[in-house]
Amino acid sequence: MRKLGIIGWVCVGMIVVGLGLRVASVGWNWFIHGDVQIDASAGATLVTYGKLMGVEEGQPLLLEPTQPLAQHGPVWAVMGAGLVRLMGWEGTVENAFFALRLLSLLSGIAVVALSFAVAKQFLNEEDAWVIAACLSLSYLLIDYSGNGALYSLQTVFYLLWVLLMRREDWKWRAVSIGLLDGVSYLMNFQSIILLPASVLGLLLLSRSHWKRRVVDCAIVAACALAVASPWFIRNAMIFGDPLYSHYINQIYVFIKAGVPPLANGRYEPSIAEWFSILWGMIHTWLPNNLYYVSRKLLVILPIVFPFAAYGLLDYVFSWSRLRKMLPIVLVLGFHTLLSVAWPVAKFRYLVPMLPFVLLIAFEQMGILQIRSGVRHIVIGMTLAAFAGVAFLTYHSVPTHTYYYDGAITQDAFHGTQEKDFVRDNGYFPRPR
Amino acid sequence: MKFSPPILRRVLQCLLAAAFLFTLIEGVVLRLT
Repeated sequence: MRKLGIIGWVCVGMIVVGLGLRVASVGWNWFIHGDVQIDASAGATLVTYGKLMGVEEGQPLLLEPTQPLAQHGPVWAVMGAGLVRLMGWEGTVENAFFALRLLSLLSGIAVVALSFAVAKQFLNEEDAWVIAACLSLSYLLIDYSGNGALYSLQTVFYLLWVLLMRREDWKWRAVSIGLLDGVSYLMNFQSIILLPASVLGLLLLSRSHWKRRVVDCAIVAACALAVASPWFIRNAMIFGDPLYSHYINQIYVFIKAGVPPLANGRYEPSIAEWFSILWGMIHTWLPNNLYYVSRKLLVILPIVFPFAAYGLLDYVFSWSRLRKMLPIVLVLGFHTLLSVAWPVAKFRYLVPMLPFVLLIAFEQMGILQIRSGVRHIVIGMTLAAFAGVAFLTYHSVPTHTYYYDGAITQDAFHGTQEKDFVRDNGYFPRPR
Repeated sequence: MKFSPPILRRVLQCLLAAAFLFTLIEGVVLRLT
């Protein structure tokens, strides 16, 4: 901090401004976006009826217990319901949504704090301040700290996982990683990537005997399964299939891949159809989505993203650097792979990537041995660029919301989905 | 010429530079991504 001087205080100032914008973001997001309605409805029905139920699409604010929750895991909705109960509020969808916005605010603040902690451990304190400042003023993270979506908490879980992986000598490491994997999975099924990341991380990073490593992997798998099993049992009892949530989410893939349903309405692809899905995934979805994610990161992580890209490339040729950064690379790699293999890489999938891309970018900057003066100019320009992009994004959409992308740059469909959503639903100007 | 990792690294670095250039021209400048 002392070494950084003026830039250090600029970072502190940006972090304070970022925290203020996060609080404001809870106010800007007074209307509900996309999948958040699933969690808000489930939270409300849990408070009111004692059951996690879904909601009919297009009726986001009706408290109608129409179908049991399946598309999302239960953790985020249960947390929202818990806060509603704790505050003694009525079990309405509006209240559950407000509770989720408060939880996303807490998660968003935790993302900045934990990123600072991870950066301090993997890099140094100077870089940690700059990374925290950049994340603090990232408009994507500001919006997701107030819109009630679960992606900020997913980022928190990823960062906690990285910190746990570093605690090699802690005897409860494998158990805590397993429990975290299980809870993360039930919070967002996408977080299942922590399981293969845990196995690879434990096998490759540990200094202990290989038998110990295999036992640790088994402990992680057993703990994660123990946490997830009540959800599997509940789904088996309600739907007759413990993995029904995955079936529901796969339907999206089947529809996008053009696989027709059977006469009874169920989807049961043949082996040939599975291969056709796999081919489409590798041939079409993956490259297109990877390109979308890359050019998006180029804009929302101005100046620093090319450093991260070159850093990742250099890791291929340097095991010592890769080993040092392995937990970060594993989380980022698996999360990105799952996101881009999905038919459409949603804008929200970028939220958990940001801290990890920044960490790799600053590790690369450190390796390049840039002269101190030049380095401070680059850092100053980066901070200014983050502030500039946040300013432009804020002014791009009248409601200052950013859930669907399409503000200052195009969304995944080359459109302006957030602006269209706001306009089509008459959310601007805000009703008094 | 021996095909060694340093050469491969340079080739990949050049490809990455080309990819960024392409993205800047095609994505940012022409279509604002």
